[in-house]
Amino acid sequence: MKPIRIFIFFATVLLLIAIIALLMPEQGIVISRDYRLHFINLYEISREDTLDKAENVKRLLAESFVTDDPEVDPVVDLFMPAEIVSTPSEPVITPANKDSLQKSVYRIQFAKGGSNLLNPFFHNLDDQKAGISMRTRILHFGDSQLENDRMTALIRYRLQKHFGGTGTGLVQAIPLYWGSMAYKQDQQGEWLRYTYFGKRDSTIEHNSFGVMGAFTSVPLAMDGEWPMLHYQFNISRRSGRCDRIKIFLHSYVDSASVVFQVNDTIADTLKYISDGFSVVDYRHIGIVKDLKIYMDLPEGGRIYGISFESYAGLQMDNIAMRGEAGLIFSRMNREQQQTMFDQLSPGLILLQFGGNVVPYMNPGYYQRAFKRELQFYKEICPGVPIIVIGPADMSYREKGVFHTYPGLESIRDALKFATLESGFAFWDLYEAMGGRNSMPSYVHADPPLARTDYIHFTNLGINLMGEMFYNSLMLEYNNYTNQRRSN
Amino acid sequence: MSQILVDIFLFNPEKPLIFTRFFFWGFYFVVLLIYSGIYKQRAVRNAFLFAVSIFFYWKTSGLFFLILIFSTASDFYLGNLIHSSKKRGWKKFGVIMSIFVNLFMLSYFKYTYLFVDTVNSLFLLDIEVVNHLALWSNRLTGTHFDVSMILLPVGISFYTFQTISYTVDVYRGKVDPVKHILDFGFYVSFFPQLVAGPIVRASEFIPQLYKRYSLSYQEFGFALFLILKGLFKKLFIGDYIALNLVDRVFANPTGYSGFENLTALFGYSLQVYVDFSGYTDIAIGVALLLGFRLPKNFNSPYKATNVGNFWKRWHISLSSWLKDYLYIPLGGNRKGRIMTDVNLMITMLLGGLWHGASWQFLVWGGLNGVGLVVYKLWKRISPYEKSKHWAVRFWKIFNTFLFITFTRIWFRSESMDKANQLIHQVVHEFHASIIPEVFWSYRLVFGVMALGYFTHWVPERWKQNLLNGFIRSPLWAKVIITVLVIFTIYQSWSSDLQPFIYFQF
Repeated sequence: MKPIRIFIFFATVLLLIAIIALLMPEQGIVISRDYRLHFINLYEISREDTLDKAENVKRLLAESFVTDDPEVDPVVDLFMPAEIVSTPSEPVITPANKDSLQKSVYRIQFAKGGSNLLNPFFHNLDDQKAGISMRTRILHFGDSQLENDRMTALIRYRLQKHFGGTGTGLVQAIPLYWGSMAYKQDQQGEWLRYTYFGKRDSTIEHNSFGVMGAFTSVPLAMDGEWPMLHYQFNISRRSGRCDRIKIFLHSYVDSASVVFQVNDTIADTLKYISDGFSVVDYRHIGIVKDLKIYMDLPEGGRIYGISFESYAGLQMDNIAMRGEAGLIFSRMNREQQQTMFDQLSPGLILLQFGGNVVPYMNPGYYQRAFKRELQFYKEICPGVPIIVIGPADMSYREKGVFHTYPGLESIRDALKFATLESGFAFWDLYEAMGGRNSMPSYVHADPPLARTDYIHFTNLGINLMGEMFYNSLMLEYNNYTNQRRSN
Repeated sequence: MSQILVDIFLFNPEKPLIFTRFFFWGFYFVVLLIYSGIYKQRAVRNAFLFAVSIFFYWKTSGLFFLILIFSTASDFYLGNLIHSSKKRGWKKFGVIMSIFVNLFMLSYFKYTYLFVDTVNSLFLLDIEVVNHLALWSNRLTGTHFDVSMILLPVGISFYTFQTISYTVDVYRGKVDPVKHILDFGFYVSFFPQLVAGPIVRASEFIPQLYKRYSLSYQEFGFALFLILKGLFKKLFIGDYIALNLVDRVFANPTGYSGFENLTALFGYSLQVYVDFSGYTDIAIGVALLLGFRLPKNFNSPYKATNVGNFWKRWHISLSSWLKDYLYIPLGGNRKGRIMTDVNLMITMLLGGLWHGASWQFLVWGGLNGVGLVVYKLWKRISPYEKSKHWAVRFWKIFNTFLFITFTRIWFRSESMDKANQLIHQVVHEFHASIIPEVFWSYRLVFGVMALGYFTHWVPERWKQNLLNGFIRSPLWAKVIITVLVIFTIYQSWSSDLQPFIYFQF
């Protein structure tokens, strides 16, 4: 067969394809409710793999110092020069200091007249640094973007480097996501974990799930063997170093006992823990490398969380709630949460939600519902500032091309309005990362900054987002410091 | 207009010239048109195919085409030196130089990072990689290449092995050296197999350079069938399950239950096969339409009854290369049982490293080596080794497939940590209770996976009948079938993304 015949064969195939492409309706041919037949058109061929925001993403990455590991020191830290000032205005990507820094800062947005919202938190930080107060705490709530300490880890590390503090903060007794860089864990006994978010276990009739929205049930001692939780800390990491352990516990009856075995030595035995909610607080002189916690709760009980922290300094907790939209807090037991919040005494709360209601929820409804949650926090943590972090860009695929979900910007706006109307602050992750249709550029970046579900960031990507948020927060801190100096 | 010319002729790393892009088929269409006018003049034909192959490589790898030209020139002249030298010492020098130059290039571009990382972690150093080639070029010619990183030229693992086989075969007297450098350049760079093989031996390909073009109607049908099959495997099956299941699970194993991790692993086992074999199917078909025969590279590998048999069916051109140019020169099975095992292990470990410069590939190669060694022991004592019973055969295929899939954990994982996480999830976080929910939610992905495995495991004669039917069909039927296959592939390519599903576990 001569090559010219092969050429004619391919030309015929091309001709037929062109005819089908011309005849095919733009919306395709409906096969079923969920499926349509599509075919190519010339426009698609010419725009194949066009990643409009690729340059922006490359620039962000080039200007950043982040790596896969959140505990890597930045070469230059925005926190250092107090002169960094940027006029508060509409949020724009503004070079923080074009002479010494190459970074971009996307500003936090405040409610009208609320630009001093974060001052109490910054004041706490200063007091803590000056030794006037011992500790400050940030609770970072969010959806699956935060799973496994992601984003929080970088912000925590950078803040702890400046303001002191070690430890990973609150964790579940049985982690939801394995693979912490701070510690390895195993356990003895049938520990079970229950969550208020996601799929709920119908056998749990109460709604006391603690501030983490989850608890672990403590098993009964079997054959004289107490159930045990075992942690081996990676003390080469700041998040792996702790000298204080707090267990947020609920025992069903009196006379519960907890034994701490640190580095193979029984370090403390606490007996006669009363029934109901209590905080078991253990302080260790020196570094905890290996920790075993034995528990004897005669009728069992619940652990709402264990906090690995330092006696002094800043703590930051990662509370990831898979599938959640930030609408469960006011539905859980208020008193119990209040008690736990009092114990935690946060100086700042970050709420990072929104992605899970795209595209299912009406934005108006979401705005009202989220406002109710913010009101709940206002009541149980009065005076504690809240920064709401909006959803990241998310893409769906249509005819092979990725687009931002249609309702995403409305949901972002709903969150923003609810937040600003409540007097709190908003950080627009969606705009910070590049806005509409930016996600494909993150997926296709080299190295990749987002996963191929076009929703979640890779570790490098989420660290980049963490760094951007940290820079924004520190820019506000610098402004606060400048203001104080000028006064 | 100028933008179109820039798009066509300039290198854009975002748009490499690969078989799954429209642009490649436009390129091939133009090549066929010109080829139709010149195919009868052998020298012009070879020179033309060399030129378009270099253009293809330029579009795929940019200035790295200079490395390809360097490799071509050095091995061409070394081949001549080996052949024309009367003294054995010079012949040896020629072949050693060729192996050294090729392996040096391969090591420099592929293994520098692994080497530096290993030295840094062993001796707690902080050595940074510097691209000395870029540095040298910048100093000498004023270029502005980035000296802080070494990029891997596409296909270097394939064409260095190909040129090594040439000089070694010339040294062994198995093949005469190529007379003209353009012919040799064509052999090294022939675009259908340049990027991902098959690795073509000089003795198989060079005689074709001097033959006239010939292609029967049956061969045309076979080539077209291979191209369509390859595109279907790669795009309809491979890309779909990669995008909608495999990539996302392997990127974050701890975000998924053990069951999802396991399904992703089996998904990957299929994906890596349909991707790679699909690509080489297309390569063989595209080459055949130009009148060149490339060797078969896959033979239903998941029908293998043991690990040894698997390596005779999987990436055949590489495993036979490793056998002829590494395992046998090491001593093969000629130096006793223990040395045979040692040689097998060395071959598989280096074969593992050939696939990628990381410890995971070394583990993967090592596991395959262990598999081969253990099978050699087992077959001596197994009472069922010679059994033809269908149940025995099924059991052997099943076990081999499970073992190969198990080794894929390291082949696919980006790091040892990720591999450990996947194993942890399967062992400790399996969560069998969510299996029905996972099956229902991922029904389309599992459907495509089932189709992929089914078409792989159906009896060979079914496949042969399908192939024969296609070959025998008239040209107009082939046109219609081709359009239908393209239409079907487009449905998969343009389908909605499998949404991210939260399985609470």
